[in-house]
Amino acid sequence: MKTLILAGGGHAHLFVLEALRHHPRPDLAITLVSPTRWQYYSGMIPGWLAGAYRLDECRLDLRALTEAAGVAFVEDSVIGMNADKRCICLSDGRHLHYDLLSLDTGSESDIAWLAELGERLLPVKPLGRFVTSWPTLRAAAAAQPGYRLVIAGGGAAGVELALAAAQASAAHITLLTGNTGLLAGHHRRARRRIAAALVEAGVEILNQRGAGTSTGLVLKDGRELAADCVIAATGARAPVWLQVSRLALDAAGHVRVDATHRSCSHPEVFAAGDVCARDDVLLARSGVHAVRAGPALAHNLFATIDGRPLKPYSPRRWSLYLLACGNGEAVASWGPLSAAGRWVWRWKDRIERRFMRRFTLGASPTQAKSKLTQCALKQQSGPPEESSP
Amino acid sequence: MTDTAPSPDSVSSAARQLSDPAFITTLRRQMLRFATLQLGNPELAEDAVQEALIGAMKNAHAFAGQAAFKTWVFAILKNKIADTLRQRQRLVEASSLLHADEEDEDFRELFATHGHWQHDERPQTWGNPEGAVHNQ
Repeated sequence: MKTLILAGGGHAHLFVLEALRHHPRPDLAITLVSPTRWQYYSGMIPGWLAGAYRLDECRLDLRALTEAAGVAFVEDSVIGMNADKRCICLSDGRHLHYDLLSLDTGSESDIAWLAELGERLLPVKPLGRFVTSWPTLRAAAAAQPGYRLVIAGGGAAGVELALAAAQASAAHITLLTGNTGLLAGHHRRARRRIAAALVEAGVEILNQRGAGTSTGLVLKDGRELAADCVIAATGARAPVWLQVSRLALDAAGHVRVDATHRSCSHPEVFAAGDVCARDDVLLARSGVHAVRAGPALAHNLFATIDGRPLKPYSPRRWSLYLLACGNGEAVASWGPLSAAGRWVWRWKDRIERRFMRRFTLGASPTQAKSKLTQCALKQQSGPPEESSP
Repeated sequence: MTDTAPSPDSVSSAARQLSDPAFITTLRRQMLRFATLQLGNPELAEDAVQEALIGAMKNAHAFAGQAAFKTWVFAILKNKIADTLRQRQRLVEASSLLHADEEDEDFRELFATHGHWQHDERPQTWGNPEGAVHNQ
């Protein structure tokens, strides 16, 4: 019996579990490894911070999902692997051997400029830890007048967190965007709208980088910015253990994959989401691509085992980003188009809830089963709509 | 946005100070000494210093002078060192678990006897955080 290991419980692997739920593979021994049974959905976490969602609405139960898919669940972290020996290593020292491996372990917050902050640093990733720490931070901000919260990172994550935190906490909030400014790569209209929302929410914006100290940040002019807490939304970097995995990696340490998301060095390894880098196209480090590559990954894993042809995942030119403003409004950014308002929030809310419903067992009958099968197995398209996970 | 553009005068003055070879050479030597002491490895120290200097020099026009630049570049360096130490610790732990039951192929081959990376086996750079922000 062949062994398939799904390392990580990211968006792409949700599609693999879904495919297995509808088309079980009793001929395979399949295991999913994830550090926690709860998979938090990044698209809804800012909404949770702002009070729009309950926490249980923003997470999926991997234990239940694997059980329904006939997949064994191992609650542990992957801390190393040897691709030449087809083996992954878990934090408890266990070695798991595979015939086929799929990596969707995600990335880590890049804290190379912030590591000196120590206890004052709260990285956005892993999301589970962030979610656990947030109530403590909020309570501290409420108890201490003048509590200063700095959010480092001017991308979609930093912006949404700053807006949600402004809505939800009493802290004085500074958004440190880095040299490239707010929402680099987005159209200027979307950037303007977000800048206006931040100003209205009382968020201070600094278009520069900061280096961590034990009391806050040092800015490039030597000025010190005191901070009780710094949230690192500074972008993603690949897990360090990949460096010794023997897999072919790109310059930044991500697993190099082809258009079918197969490793360029080890054909029995696939990778999707932030952990990989495509050889043929530059994919933004966004959950959008992890979601949209999911159906292709599901197809390709089983096609590899069955000896069928693989299918590529072709990213669209532009991705739709729906950024929550924390006040019941949202900003949409899609290539050159941008829009804002309460209706955008309702649109975002509908898309996010539909995504969660799709992967929640026993969810309402609005779940379109035929569409699921179409997407996950026939590979005709990705999910009907996408957002900003 | 509170970040104001520097005046042409301050730009030329800061640029002059930073292009002073003696200043940069001395600063680099100080940084290297500090990083080598912390990391116990000249090559890792060299990398950390190089990355900190390059990171700090981006937008050098906006610096208020040599003292401020030194504060800034050392702050970056200290973070890089703390981060490198943590990452290295994780690799060492992973290696001992990964190769605990193997005698023929020992992961420790990647490290010199004093526990640091062999020259040819060092990890690649961690990437560019600025680029990662840009890509979000």
